[in-house]
Amino acid sequence: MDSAVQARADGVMSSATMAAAVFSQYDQRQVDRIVEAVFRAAFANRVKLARMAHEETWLGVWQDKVIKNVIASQLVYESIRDVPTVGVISHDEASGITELAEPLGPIFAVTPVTNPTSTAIFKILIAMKTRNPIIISPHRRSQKSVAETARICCEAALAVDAPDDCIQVVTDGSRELTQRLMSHRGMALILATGGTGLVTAAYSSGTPAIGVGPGNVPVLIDPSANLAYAVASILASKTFDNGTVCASEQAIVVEQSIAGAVRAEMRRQGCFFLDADEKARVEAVAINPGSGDMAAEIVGQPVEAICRMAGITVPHGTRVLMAELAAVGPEEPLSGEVLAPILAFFVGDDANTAAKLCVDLNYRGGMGHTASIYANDERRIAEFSALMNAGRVVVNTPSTQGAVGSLLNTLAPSFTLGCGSGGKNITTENVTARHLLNIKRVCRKRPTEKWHGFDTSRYLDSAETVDGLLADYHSDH
Amino acid sequence: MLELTYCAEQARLTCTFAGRMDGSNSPEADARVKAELAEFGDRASVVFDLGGVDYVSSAFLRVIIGAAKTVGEARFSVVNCQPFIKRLFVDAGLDRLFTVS
Repeated sequence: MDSAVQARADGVMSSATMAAAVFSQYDQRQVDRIVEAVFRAAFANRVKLARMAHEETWLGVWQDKVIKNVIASQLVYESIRDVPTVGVISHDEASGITELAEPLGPIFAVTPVTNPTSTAIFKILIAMKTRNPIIISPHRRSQKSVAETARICCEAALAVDAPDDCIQVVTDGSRELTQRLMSHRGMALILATGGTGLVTAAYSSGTPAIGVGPGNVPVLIDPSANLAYAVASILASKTFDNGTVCASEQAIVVEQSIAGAVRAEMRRQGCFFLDADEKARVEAVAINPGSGDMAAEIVGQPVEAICRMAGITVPHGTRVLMAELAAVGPEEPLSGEVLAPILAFFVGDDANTAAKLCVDLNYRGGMGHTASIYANDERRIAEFSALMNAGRVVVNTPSTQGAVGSLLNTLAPSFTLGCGSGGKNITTENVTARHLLNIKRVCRKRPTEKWHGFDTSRYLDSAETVDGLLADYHSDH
Repeated sequence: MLELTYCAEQARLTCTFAGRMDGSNSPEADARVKAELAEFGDRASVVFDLGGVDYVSSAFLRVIIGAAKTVGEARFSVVNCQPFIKRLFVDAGLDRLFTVS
């Protein structure tokens, strides 16, 4: 055991624990003042932080990162601003139940390289709203921009009397320090947004965790859909920040009857369908041959850079590379998640075959995450929704913007998308402030009249029948 | 805000605080406590009486922890806490370092 690492972990936790204790005294007004201050500071620095993240990681598009920062600051703030999170948050005289909100305690928040500053802003805001100190551990390739985000937010919080050390960032984090912090007895919750290894480590730590791993979003374009709209919507989503969002589309699935029309529309709107040789070349740079996972080098890269790496030439202005695949699975590596402007394209003989392809894609690394359908036939939407193992099924909506919430629907804006049991999560919801609370229920006596009017000694008589007991129990005494 | 009483007979320094102990008054409290500890800390036990305190800030926690370290945790105690202040010390784990009552 490395005692220096343990001492560092203990020091960070000691500061966080003190902050949690002081935070516990704050009332709703004080908390809301802190949250507003943090929001304003993050929002004011949205462009600077987006540029920093882009320059540090060389992933995505800085302008799109600005939008991500706006979602994480303005839209998240507006969604939680009026939510009560301190003390009594509800009282129902009829049921006799009063709910009190209490903080969880120190939260360990991992931020991914793909959405570094936006995820940090989001997690800081929901932590402050719930009086939980937060310790941020950024991906090693985005430490500078996340540290600056944390510094700006912390400075704003302290200016309005937030507890010292309520926002900490660990940029000297070795894997061992991360593990020590995750498993520290004082840690209340891990908010793990990142790769499979990290999420698994969070779940193995013994600390409660909300972990969000990969997606593999299938998109079914039904014959009832408006094809031009569907393609435009998909491309707006898949090209956003060069496809770095885990809720972005990964594979388009169509029936044979509309395949030609969809291909033509995709070409018209800037997609380039790779031939067999080009597909092999792109696959070689996009997929890590050992693990079968996407290669880090192509994540968030523009089409031109991917083509350069692959040694292929595509028409100027190409927005997305299309790989038409014959099967879902390791034999077609591009049927897995690729966070870059590359889309798989599948054609099913009929509606059932197309639906089964969507199931295969959904279960190939994207369970519980997000699925997408374009259709104007409610029956097809209902069938698809029932079929998918997903926390979110977005309908006629770009899946990136749809899943993140609030822009195009009423889902809570979030950079941590619960994936349910399919993704080993406790929730399928978009994680927000209310997931960071202990809700205490104060229960006043409200006797159940039926119970008290019933002769409960009859339960002891094995000769009593089920129907007889239930009939008498529910009869008016 | 702060009253300091030294009882030579019992070799005990009692620091009685009142009101809201926040960032605005904790530095002054810290300076006065340190001055007393410089004079009596090597031979006295130190009691922080928080009977009148209704808010403990990060800054005041530092004053408390600093005093406990200076005199030694075994000779330091916090007394008369209101219940929610007592819970604060328990949440912070400080009741494992010195007596809190």
